[in-house]
Amino acid sequence: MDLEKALQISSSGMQAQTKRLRVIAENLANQDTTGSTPGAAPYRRKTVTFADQVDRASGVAEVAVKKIGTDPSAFPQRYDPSHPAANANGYVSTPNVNSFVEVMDMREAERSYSANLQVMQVTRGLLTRAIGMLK
Amino acid sequence: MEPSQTGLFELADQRLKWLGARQQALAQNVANADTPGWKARDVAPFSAVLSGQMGLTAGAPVRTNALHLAGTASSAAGGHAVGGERAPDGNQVSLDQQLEKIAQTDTQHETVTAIYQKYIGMFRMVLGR
Repeated sequence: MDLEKALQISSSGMQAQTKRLRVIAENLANQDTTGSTPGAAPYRRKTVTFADQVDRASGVAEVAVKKIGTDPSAFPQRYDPSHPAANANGYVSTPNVNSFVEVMDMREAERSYSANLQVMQVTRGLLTRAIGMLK
Repeated sequence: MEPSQTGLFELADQRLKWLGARQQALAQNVANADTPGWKARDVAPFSAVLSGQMGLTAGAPVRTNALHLAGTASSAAGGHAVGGERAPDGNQVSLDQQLEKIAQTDTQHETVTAIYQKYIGMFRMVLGR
């Protein structure tokens, strides 16, 4: 039935946004994670890409996380010779996580999640009303 | 008069099916609101579905004279992409637009079920129940 498929699609959208939020949380939690040996690489920012995916059983286009990749941009350098990860010149590589970008991404994920939730609520209302026709 | 043979019930049935299909298409758009390259889709308007299934008697105007202008309503059935502004990643879904259409679907569904129940109520009244 179409309405049940609509519920399934909305739930796939919510799952995808939840995964995205998980990656954002990882990035924010690790925004100060540097290496512990001289010249070691710090935490590298993770990125999420979405793709539409056709569910073979029902033939509907759901959404899924296609890949959790990494951000290839350069690590910012900070001068701190006393740091355990400082290189020969006294510079420490810090993670390429920008908290402003992450917070903006988080807001977007939140907005998409609530849009999916709203669609789900409307679909539920339609189903309930259709069942009410039996009375 | 048998209830199942009444045009109104069949019409309500078709409309509810159409609303279900539309809700599915809109849910797909909202779920894919962040998918690169996704284009918003919508089903063909109900009048087109109606003229395709019930002949030209319902919904669409009929040309009874060769001098009449042909209608501009498209009779294409099935999903079609709707245009809109495009994000840099090629995504064409506007969440506001989609939610507005979903609200429309909700209202129309309510109308159809209300009419259906009212009509059923009339049959009940005649039957004395």
